[in-house]
Amino acid sequence: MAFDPRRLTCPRCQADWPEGEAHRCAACGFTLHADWFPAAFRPRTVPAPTGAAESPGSTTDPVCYLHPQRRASVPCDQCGRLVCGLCEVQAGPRHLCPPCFDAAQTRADGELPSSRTLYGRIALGLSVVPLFPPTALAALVVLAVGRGKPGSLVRPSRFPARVALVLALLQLTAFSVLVALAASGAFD
Amino acid sequence: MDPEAHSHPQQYEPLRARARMRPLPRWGTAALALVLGPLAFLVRGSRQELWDGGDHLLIIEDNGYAERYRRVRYQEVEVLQHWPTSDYLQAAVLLALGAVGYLALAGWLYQTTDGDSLAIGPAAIFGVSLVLALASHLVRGPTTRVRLRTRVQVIELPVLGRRRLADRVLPRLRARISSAQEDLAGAATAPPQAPTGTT
Repeated sequence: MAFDPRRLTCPRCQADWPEGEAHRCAACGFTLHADWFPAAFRPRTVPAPTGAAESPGSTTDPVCYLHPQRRASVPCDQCGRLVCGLCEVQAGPRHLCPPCFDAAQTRADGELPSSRTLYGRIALGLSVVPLFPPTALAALVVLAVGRGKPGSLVRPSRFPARVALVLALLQLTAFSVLVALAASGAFD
Repeated sequence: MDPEAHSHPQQYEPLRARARMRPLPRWGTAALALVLGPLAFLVRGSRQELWDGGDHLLIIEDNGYAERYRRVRYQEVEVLQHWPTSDYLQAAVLLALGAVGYLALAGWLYQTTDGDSLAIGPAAIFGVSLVLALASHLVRGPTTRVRLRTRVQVIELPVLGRRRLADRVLPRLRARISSAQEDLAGAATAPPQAPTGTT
């Protein structure tokens, strides 16, 4: 049987889990706790097709949030809404709805980003590696590249970047002092 | 279409659920620890976190240098399932057997070679690391699995892999989902076997 991401199965016997069943698999008796919510029981009536180009779903299919008359095929990887094949925009490995695709096109970092690079943490990782000055310089480059770009969506702190900057500058200063001392013959 | 979702940044609240994703099941990691000792516990995946975004659940996968975000709208969650797993017992048995075995080996080598064997140290380190892993595993409590279904997908939440954590987070999720679907409750068709809401 082809993998169906919508199919809810019994964890033990993989039989279809009955709609509304809260505790027990009818096929193997496996027990679990299931909380059913009204969304599972709302009417899913999809209107009859209006044209040959339409690809309506059955009465049990989810519908596209932009086209209620069309069957949804995937969730938008950015906002989580359900979209049909007509609306779905394939952006590399991601499936986006048109508004999220537009947001991604108009801004490098939309309001609903699907990923963010943590430049501060990368720089911090580099700045604590005891291979100065190359890693200290690399940390400064990473900080420069990430300058002005938003950090974590949920923890927008700049603390790692600041610590990385201080450590990298300390390393470069220490290296410069060592070079100067060596040049002046202090180690002879 | 709700233009709000595309025009305003979201404020997120932590659900205080954070855990490492596991490239191996718990018993697999325990079995690997029998061979690799403490090195086995370095085999870890990215960290997963759950945050409440008001109208959606934000699932974050954090590999240390980048975060990936997935959003599940509360309004579209149809069912939330959770069940206990046997991982807890299997991993505990394997870790206990390994700890006893390595510590016994270290003791036996110490006795028979008067402490001259080079293998005593590694065996003791393996044994002690397995004891520590066992203690940590027991303290964190029984294991569970949680998944939710929307209209188009079934999503596993490996972050809620411990029952204690799941018991703390799931009521908040249920409340959020129920609140988001309040307007659907009246219009929804009655379920065939169980009432809507919690078990």
